[in-house]
Amino acid sequence: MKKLSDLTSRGRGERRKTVLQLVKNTFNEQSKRLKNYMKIVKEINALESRYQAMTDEELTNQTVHLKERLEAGETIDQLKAEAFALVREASVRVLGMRHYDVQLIGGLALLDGHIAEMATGEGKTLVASLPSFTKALIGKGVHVITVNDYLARRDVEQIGEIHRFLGLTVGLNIPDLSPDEKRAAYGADITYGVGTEFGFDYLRDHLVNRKEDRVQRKHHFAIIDEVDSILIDEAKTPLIMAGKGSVHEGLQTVAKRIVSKFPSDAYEYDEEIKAVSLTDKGISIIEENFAIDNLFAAEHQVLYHYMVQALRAHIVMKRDVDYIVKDGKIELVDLFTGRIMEGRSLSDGLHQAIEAKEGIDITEENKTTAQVTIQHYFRMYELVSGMTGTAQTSRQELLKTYGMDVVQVPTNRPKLREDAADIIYATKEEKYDAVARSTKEAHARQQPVLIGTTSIEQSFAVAEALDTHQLSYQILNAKTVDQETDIIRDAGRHGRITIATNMAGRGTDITLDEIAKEAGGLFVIGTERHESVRIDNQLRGRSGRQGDPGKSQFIVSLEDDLVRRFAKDRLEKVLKKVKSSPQGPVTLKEAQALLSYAQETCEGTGYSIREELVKLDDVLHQHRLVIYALRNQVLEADEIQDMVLPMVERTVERIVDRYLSSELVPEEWPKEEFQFAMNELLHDEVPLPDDLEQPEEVKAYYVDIVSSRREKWMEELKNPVVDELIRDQLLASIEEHWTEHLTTMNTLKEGIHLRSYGQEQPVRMYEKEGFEIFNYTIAEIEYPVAYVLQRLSEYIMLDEEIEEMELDV
Amino acid sequence: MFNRRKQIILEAEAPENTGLYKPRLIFTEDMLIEKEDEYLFRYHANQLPDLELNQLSVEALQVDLSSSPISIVALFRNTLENSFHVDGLPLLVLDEANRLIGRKVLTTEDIPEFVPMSSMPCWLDFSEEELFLAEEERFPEKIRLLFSLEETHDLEIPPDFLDAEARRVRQTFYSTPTLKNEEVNVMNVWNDRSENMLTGLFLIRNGYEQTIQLGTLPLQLLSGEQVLQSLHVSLTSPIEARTTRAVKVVLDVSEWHDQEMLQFRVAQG
Repeated sequence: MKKLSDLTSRGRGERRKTVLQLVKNTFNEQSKRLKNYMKIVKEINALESRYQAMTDEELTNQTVHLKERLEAGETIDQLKAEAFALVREASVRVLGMRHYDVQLIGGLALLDGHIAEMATGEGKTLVASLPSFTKALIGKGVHVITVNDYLARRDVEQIGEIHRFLGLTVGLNIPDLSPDEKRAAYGADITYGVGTEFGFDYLRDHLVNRKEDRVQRKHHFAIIDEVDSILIDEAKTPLIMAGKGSVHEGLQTVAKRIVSKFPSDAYEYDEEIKAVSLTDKGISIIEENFAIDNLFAAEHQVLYHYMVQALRAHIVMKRDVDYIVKDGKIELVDLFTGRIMEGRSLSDGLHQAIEAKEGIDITEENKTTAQVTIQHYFRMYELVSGMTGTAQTSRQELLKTYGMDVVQVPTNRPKLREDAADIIYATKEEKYDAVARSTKEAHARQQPVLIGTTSIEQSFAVAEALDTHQLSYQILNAKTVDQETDIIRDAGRHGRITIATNMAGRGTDITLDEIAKEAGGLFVIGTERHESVRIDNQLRGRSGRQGDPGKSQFIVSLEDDLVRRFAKDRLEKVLKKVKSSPQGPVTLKEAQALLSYAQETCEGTGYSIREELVKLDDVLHQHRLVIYALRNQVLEADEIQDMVLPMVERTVERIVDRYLSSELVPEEWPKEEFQFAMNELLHDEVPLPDDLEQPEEVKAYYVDIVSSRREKWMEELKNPVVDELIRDQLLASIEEHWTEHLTTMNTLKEGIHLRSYGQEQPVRMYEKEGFEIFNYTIAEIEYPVAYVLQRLSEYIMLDEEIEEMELDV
Repeated sequence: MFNRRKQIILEAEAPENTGLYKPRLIFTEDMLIEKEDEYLFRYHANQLPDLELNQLSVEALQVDLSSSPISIVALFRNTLENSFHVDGLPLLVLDEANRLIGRKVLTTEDIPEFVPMSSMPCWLDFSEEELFLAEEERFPEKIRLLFSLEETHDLEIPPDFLDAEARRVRQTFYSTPTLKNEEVNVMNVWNDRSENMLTGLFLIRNGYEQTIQLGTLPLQLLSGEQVLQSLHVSLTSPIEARTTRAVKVVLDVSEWHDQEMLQFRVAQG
């Protein structure tokens, strides 16, 4: 079996070799692109006076004019300078805000489908107003994806003013809208909302039974704010629409009982990739407990699934890090924001396994009925672009995986933040003490301090250290989510000390008061390096907004989880040297190198996992596209004959394939079973003629029989009642078997890394086995349709009887 | 929750050479066992202590409160050498305090046949009449099942008994050792005062091999230990041989409305 970490280290080596070359190339590309954008900015600037001279009404009319020119054949490229200049003038009139030149550059990068990297506080929201307007002129809708509902609402009100002024419509897409409200929001020229909601609407649109019930239009252009969070940080969490299924509580409890008594050599926990697997010992314990021979036998897949989920709940999922228990319920914690993920739950029984672990009431299981990763959702857009303050360090990944390049937009005002060098301690205890001391010093001069942590657990450790120094502070974590915005907004007040999990309150401005500014601005202290430099930068970026003063520094230790998880092998060597040195910060060069190594390994591992996940999800995505296309056809096709009649033929052929093999002589064929299955489908006694000796001949014979019924069905399908019956049957069949397919594919994915395939790549195997499963799913979807079609008269009669009964009642 | 669904599995567990046997787990076709249930049965069958030869054992695995009124999933294990039926074998349900809370006479409908040397899961549906808990009491999740080998009398409960009263009578009847031959016994099961009426429930148990005619039931009305009144309740019909009859006495006690702790007692002699 190939471990992900092996792949990672090789990948890392290769990457290093090409770093220099990349830097050079990047620099060239970047400067060329910027030069080009500067040229267009000049054009925009030159147009400014023309629009300034226009009345409000004339400006509004410009929108109509631009639309007409597009219709007449001009391209966005040809119009963009005018469109940008128009938005800039409208913004001045409506909001009193004029786009800076650098904001125009950002807008142009977005219009090209790039990621515009702009420092925090550079007015990204205003930047998005430019390409969103320009692309909306096409009339196919533009989606602006915000970090949360609050910001979506704010943008609709504020930035929407510009668009409305220019005669476009603006929609707000938030959860819990009625379908009509949703349709109105999507029908608007520009629609704001949170990415997950757009993804869920897509899934919901593929669960409706009438095309009129759908809410989305085709996916045209999207601008994603904090694009790195969406495409990288959340890459591992798919959006899942779930129906309720019940978990077997008894088996869950037993599974928990067994794994909680596991000795440490019963499983292997790979902290790097947070994956746990059973050792031979663990496997034997399970086999003994259930008196089975081979846990990995196909027939024991169900048991395996329960045991692995129990093990994950027990070993991988940590209380107060991955989840909290609140009011007798498991609430998941977003590892990047530290926020509770409201209403989110883990699927496939893992959530219930955690409930069993914590001994709280077991809820119903979420049975996945539709699933898409947010990345695949956005890949369906004709063009996607994004904004963030921190993407450059992940440029390669974004380019390779999503084909989006990062354009670094120069800052409008020079950055005044001082990013001080890391201070490293040998132990966590010393680290927290140093954090408290640094905080105390800053506090003494009334400088506001924001201490970033990576988990709730760590927040409490920091709080304890501050208590020792008698410092009072605000603590912000998933458990106090209600006050999040208030606490973050006030974090810039002089003398304020705030402890927050790293991304808490992202999107909320930390505003400094005068005394705080004079005291040096916000001092951000990082207490542990994050999973990537990019996230470290996100934390630093909380300070020094829009030319404000500020400082950032990481105070870390060699005992940090990141080091333990990703640089265990090298740690010992460094520790030996450290021991001989006196107390205080570790000044060894090797220590700094070790931290960087740990972070790089973590980044590399994360990248490999995401890369692999994307590939695995690609397989399922292809299946989804086929199924959804079929579903759309059912909803949209005027007539369904051409769709369903071949299903009957294929079903007949499958029955032949299942029972009759060309490798056997006809005497050895299980004719009785075959005949039963065929008669059952055809709803008729159609004996297998004795003179047929090849399965292909048998297929031809039975296909002929169903073809002879074709005319009759064609006629029947003209009856709207029959048409509706067949469509409903097909939709129900798709829903049922697609849900099953998702479960099976998830189980397959779960097991794919635990099975050895010799030289074969797991992804390749997943694709191969997935294809077989998909064929089976298609067969399962088609069978009931073929079955009903053979006995239409009975179904129609039954329907009529039911209606009569209802009338009687 | 155990569900009755889907497929059939047959697995055998070889007995060990220790004089102790682990009966093989058997699922019959009509059980329609779900895969998850199969593992639970496997687990429990595996955890239970081995049996000596010629033993019959029953283990409650789960109380299913979702079925009305309740269903108990039990594992029946035997090390008997021949197949046998359990028609008429009473099964007692005890709570953690060993209080009798249910009794069911097993029939071939519950368990068609015991396969020799086997463990077999069984769903036992209990009717209202087979459960003895008071209405407000919740059926406990932890219970014990026992076979009752004791022969019991027939129990006659007149139709005017309320459900709750019948439950009390049954619980007392089945919790009390069966009467010896040639003995008659009268027991006060329960007294309940509701406003001005006092209701007393009694069991008259006839241990004789022949019908008896008691004529009257001598009672005393007490307030604590103080006798307020003696009464004779007439019993019109005879009590059949080896039969216990439940009797309900209702008395207007408005005369003693200021008295507390009113109760009946069977008069001695």
